[in-house]
Amino acid sequence: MTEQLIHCRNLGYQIDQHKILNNINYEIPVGKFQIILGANGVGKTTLLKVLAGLLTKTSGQVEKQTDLVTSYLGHQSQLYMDLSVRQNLNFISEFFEITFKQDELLRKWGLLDQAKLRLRHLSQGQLKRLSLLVALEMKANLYILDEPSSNLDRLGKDLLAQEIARLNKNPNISLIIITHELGEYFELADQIYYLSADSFQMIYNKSAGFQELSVINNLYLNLLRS
Amino acid sequence: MKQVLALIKKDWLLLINNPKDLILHLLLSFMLTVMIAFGINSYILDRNIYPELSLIFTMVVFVLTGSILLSKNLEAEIEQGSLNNFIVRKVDLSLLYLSKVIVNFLTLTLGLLLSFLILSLLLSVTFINQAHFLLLIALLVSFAYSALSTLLSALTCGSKYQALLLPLLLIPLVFPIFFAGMELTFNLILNQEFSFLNNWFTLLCFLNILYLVLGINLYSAALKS
Repeated sequence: MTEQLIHCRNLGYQIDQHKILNNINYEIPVGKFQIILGANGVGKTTLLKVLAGLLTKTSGQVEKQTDLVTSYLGHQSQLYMDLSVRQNLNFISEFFEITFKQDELLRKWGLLDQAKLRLRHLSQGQLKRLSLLVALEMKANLYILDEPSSNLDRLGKDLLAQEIARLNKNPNISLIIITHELGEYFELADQIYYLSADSFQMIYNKSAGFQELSVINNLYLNLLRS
Repeated sequence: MKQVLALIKKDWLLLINNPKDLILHLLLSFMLTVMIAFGINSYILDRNIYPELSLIFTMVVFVLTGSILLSKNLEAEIEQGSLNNFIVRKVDLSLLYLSKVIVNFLTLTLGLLLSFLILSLLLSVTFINQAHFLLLIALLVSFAYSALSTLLSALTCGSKYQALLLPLLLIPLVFPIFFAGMELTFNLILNQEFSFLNNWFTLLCFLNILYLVLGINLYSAALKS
C-alpha cells in the first residue's frame, strides 16, 4: 500500500453559513504528482490552503505525516516588494538556511539582469518567475502550487515544466498543482482530480492505465459543462 | 538567534529601501519639536520649568509621530503574503514579533532622541549630569511602547478599522508607560536623584517585561486570527 503524506476524511470548510468544501475525501501519496481541476470558484484554492495549513478545516479530519515539510505558492508572490531580487533571496537563504547558487538560478530563470531591482519594479511575469524559483528551491517533501503558470510566457512555462519534471523524479517528493491548462503537465501527472461544488473525484489515475490527453480534456470539458 | 538576525536585517532593509515613513517620522518629530520650542520660548518666561516642559513635549511628540511607523513593517508581510511562508513552514511567529519590536524600537528611539536633542538646543536646557539616566529612561519607555504597539498592530491588522482601532487600544495601555517615564524624569531633574529601587522604575521595568511576554505569547494567535 502506498504511503500517504496527507489523508483527508470528510473534510469541510465553511465561512459563516457558506459551505466552500464539503465532505472531501482525499489522499496525497508519497512521490506522486497530482493535478486538481475545476471551475472558477468551486474551492480549489481553499482546499490547497487547508492542506498547507493556512486555513483551518471546519469539519472532518486531516492526518498529516509527522515529517511533512510543505512548500506552498499561492496567487501572491510571498516575497517582499520593497526588497531587491537579491535581498529577497539572501533573506530566504539566511532565514530558512538554504544554500542557493543564486547567480546560476537567476540566470536559469532569466532574472540575473534584474538582481538589483526591487520587486516593485519587476513585471508580473518576472515576479512569478522569482516566486517559483523560491518555492521550488525550498527544501520540502510536498510542493503545492496554485496556478503556477499564470503570467508566465512560453519559455517560463517550459522552464516550470522542466522543474516540475525534475522534482517529480524524486520518489520522496509529492506535488499538487491547480491548473486550467492540462496539456502543460499531463505527461507528468500521476493522478488528476476534479473538484465541483458537490463532489471531488479522481478522473485519471496513470497507474490504472494511461489515457490520451484528448480523452481527459473532453471529460474535463463535459464535467465543466454539466 | 540567526533567524531573528535575518529578520531584523530584512525589516531594516525594508525600512531603508522605502524610507518615506522613516523620513516622515523624523521630519514630523523635527517640525513639531521646533514649533513647541518656539511656543515655549515665546509664552513661558519662567526658564526654571523649561526642563520639565521639554521632557513632557518630547514624550507628546514621540507618541504622535511614532504611530506613523507602528504597523508599517507588518504591512510588508501581508502585502504579498510573505507571512504564508512562515505559517506553512511552521516557523515560530514570536521570532517575527521580536524582530519587529527591535526594528520599531530602533526607529522610535531615533525620533525620541532627535526631539530631545532639538528641545535641549533650542531651549538651552542641559541634562549633562543626568544624561545616562535620562537615556536609560528613554530607552525603557521606547522599548515598552514598541513591544506593546507591535502586538496591537498585529491584533488590528485584519480590521478595516485599523486606523481607528489601533490608537483606541494603544492610548490607555501606553498611558502607564509614559506616566512612569515622566515621574522618573521629573524626579531626576527636580531632585537630582535616581534610584533603581524607585517604584516608578520598577513599574517601567515590569511593563517592559509584561508587554514583551504578552507579545511573544499572543503575536502568533493575533496574526493567525
